[in-house]
Amino acid sequence: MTAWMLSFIVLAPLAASIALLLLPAARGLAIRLVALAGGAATLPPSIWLALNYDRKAGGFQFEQTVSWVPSLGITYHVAVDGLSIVMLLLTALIITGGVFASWTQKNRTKEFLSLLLLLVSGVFGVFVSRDLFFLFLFYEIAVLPMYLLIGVWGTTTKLRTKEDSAMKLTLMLMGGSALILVAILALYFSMDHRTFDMGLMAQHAFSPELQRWVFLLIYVGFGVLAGIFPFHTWSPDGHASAPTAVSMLHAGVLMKLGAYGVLRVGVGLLPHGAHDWSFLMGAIATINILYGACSAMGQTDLKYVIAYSSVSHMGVVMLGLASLNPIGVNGSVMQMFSHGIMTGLFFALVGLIYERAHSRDITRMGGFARKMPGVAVLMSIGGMASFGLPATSGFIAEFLCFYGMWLRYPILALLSVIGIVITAVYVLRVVQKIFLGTPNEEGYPDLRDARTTEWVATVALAALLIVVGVFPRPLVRLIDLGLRQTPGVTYARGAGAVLPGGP
Amino acid sequence: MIDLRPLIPHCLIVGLGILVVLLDALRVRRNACCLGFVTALGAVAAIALDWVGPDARLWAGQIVADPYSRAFDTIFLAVLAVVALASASDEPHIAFAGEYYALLCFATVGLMITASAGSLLILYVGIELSTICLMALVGFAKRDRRSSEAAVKFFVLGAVGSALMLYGCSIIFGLAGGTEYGKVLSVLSGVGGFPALLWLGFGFVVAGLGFKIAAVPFHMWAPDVYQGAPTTITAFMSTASKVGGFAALLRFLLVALGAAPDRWAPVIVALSAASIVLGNLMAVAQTNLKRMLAYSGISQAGYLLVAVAGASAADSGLAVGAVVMYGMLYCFMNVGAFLVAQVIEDHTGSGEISALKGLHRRQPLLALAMLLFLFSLGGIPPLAGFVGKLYLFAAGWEGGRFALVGLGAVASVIALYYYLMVALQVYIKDPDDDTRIPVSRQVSLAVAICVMATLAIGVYPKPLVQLGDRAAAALHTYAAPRPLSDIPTSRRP
Repeated sequence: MTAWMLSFIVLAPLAASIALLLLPAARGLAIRLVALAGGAATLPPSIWLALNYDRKAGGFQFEQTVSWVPSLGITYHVAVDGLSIVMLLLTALIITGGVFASWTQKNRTKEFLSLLLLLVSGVFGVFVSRDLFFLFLFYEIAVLPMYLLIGVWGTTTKLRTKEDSAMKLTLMLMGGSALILVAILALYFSMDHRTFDMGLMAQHAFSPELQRWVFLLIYVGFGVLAGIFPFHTWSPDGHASAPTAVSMLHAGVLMKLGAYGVLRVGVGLLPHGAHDWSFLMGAIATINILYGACSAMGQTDLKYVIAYSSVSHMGVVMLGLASLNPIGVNGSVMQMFSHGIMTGLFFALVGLIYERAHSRDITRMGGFARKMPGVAVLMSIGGMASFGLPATSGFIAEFLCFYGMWLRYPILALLSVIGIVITAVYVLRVVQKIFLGTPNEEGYPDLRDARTTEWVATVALAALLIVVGVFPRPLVRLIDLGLRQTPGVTYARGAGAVLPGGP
Repeated sequence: MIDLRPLIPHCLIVGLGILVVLLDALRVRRNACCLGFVTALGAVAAIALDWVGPDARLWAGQIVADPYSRAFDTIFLAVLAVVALASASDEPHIAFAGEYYALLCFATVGLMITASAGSLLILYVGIELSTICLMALVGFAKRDRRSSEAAVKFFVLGAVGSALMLYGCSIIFGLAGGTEYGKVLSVLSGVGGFPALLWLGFGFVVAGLGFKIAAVPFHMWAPDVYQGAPTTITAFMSTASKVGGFAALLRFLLVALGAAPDRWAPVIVALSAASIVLGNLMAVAQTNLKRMLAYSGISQAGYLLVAVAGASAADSGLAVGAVVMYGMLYCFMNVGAFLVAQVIEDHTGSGEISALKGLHRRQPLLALAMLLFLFSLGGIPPLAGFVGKLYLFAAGWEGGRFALVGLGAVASVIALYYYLMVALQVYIKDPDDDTRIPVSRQVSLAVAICVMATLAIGVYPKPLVQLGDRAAAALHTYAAPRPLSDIPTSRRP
């Protein structure tokens, strides 16, 4: 039974996705319920996994292996450690919220939800795969539906048509996958006993020269999806054009796939390579943080603000990762979780505001708090988490990331920490422009607060930000257990002890 | 007494061709589509018969029946079956329907002979048989000026190609004193090195085969001919005929020239790189769907050549397996795409990519099928094209063609661009006119078979990998050099 738990998490959205195609398009409610079932069905098993993960034993658990193509060393091998469980939780939360957020979606609903679930099935697949072939396969399944999701259901912005945004996003991400593919082949053929199983690959000592350039391929390849500078340009256009649920999933979960890939495949299999490029990674992450925050400050389109803030926050993730010490990497994964929830919340709220105001231009808004007090409160909570106010999850995550980097390259930590100040500026500016000031009654007649299904997703996400911020121990513990098995992360001088909740 | 059992499938298909003509002439057509079904069934039966037959080398190895040839036979016969099935709905409108199917059958036999050819002579016979049948088929819609134009182009360029090839064969014959691959191999390994004349012979043979597989710089005919020919014939040419060229090329290079792989490999690398780059770049600029698929086919030939280039390494198992595997799945996805193109062209009268606009509203299932074919051609998992391309790249990498694999991987992003541009019309744009596009049951069935195969191979490639492994093992044992003493010394140059 437990052996099938992970496969169930991957297959449930996939099954729902196929079932949706078979339903007649006219049955609107049935379609939404099936989609919700497919998305939400992943939540209980993810929580169950988090509760039943054997914290004493650590390592990879709930394994399932099915021989796939033995002559090539391809095995369907799924297993999770604490790190993956955290990502599973995040994904399950966001997809459930995403289905709720697209509840009122009207145009070609069936195909929309079907593609959304297909995408999320790929995301789950990446997080549970222990076989590099399957990891890559799921990775592309997660990326490609994006083209149609943005192309069909997106909105054309002033800068770019939705078709162009979709094409730009897809081609840049696929360019990244081409690099990953080459890297995988290089690793595969450098072993005497050829296998795609990452557990077995981790035991193989790849030569340092190979590690150095293969890690670079992996870093850039997955990094495109994580939005590393200068390959981040697909992200603002893509997010601004995408419909709400897609933005939620993409910024909330998909960009994390990139960071997860660098951590799992790059740092996990190529520790020497990771240490060789650690300064470069840190420097690029610093650029991301500062450049993303400055760009966000200059935007007037609400979605572009959030999109650039994602670039900046993914910089924090990569900064923690680049430190390669337990504190920083723990912070990095924590930031993935925190930013996933926060961004999901942001995009859901932006979707709400856009639906009522029919505009995303923040310069023309004002005084919305009177008409939509609930949304205003939730947006503020998200904003606080965004610049890392204590008592929100953002504080724990960002603190660990910057502290980890301080231990490795203090200069980069000093520079990047300026990003927090800039973030505070643009977040407060956005909150002030939209919600405070004099209301513009004539311009926005439809303004009203959130409704039933909309409350469910947004309040749950906002509550999580605070709960995790106040009580991060269980989450950090889980992540830490996963990282202890990751060769590239150096546990030295009892550094684990300073972690909140460390052993 | 020679055991002729390995030739039963070939005879069956020849007989099938004759039977179809007779049926048509006698007007034994209770049901208007019966000829197509008969052909398809015959092809499936031939696949079954082929696999129960024994391994053999007939006439001193001139014709070889082994898992390698059978794997390719299966590909050709499967394409024949699908194409015949898809043509069945049009049967009442085709003048000389019997001849149409008969020529298809004979072209298939030609390809089967090509895959079994163990000597240059038989190879030439097989290539010519299939090419001449296809020349007639390309011009089959003789009232259509484009079709006639395409037939003339194909004829002239095809004649040049086969003349070159025959000249190349004669030079190699002169050098080796025989046309069987085994003899060529042993004489050449005795001589050592790669004499200048052999370069000439090798160059001409590769040019002839390059014409068949439409690799740059022998690709000039492909876009015009693909565009002009009846679409079902284009589907056959761009898949079975192309893969037939690869079946011949691989056996020729690995067996006859197996002693000096380091000499011919650079030529293949150059062909491959040129095909990938030019095919992909030209495809981007196309507005006609069939021309776009023609250029994409040129780039796909380039990808297959990556594996062929990789085959020059000592252990070529992966390469042969990759070509067999990709050959098979490429046929299904490409035939599928052409069939969709045909449905659209028949209905709207336009072959432009923009004619696909809003297909998702006009025929949702066909739109979904087209989407799958396009993504598979673009190498997106979990579709067949992904596994196939990965396998090709793996073979190239194993053979040390790192730069070529890198080029291929990067160029596949360009390829994705033009496939997605079609997907844009199919799935994202809304149609100008909302009328439903009718699809006949026969074509639906053919498209459904292609979709099933594309999905099944992508999700569970193991059976096809095993097929490829068996083919590779067969070619390997066949290529094992025999001692020099077998060859009479007087014949050595």
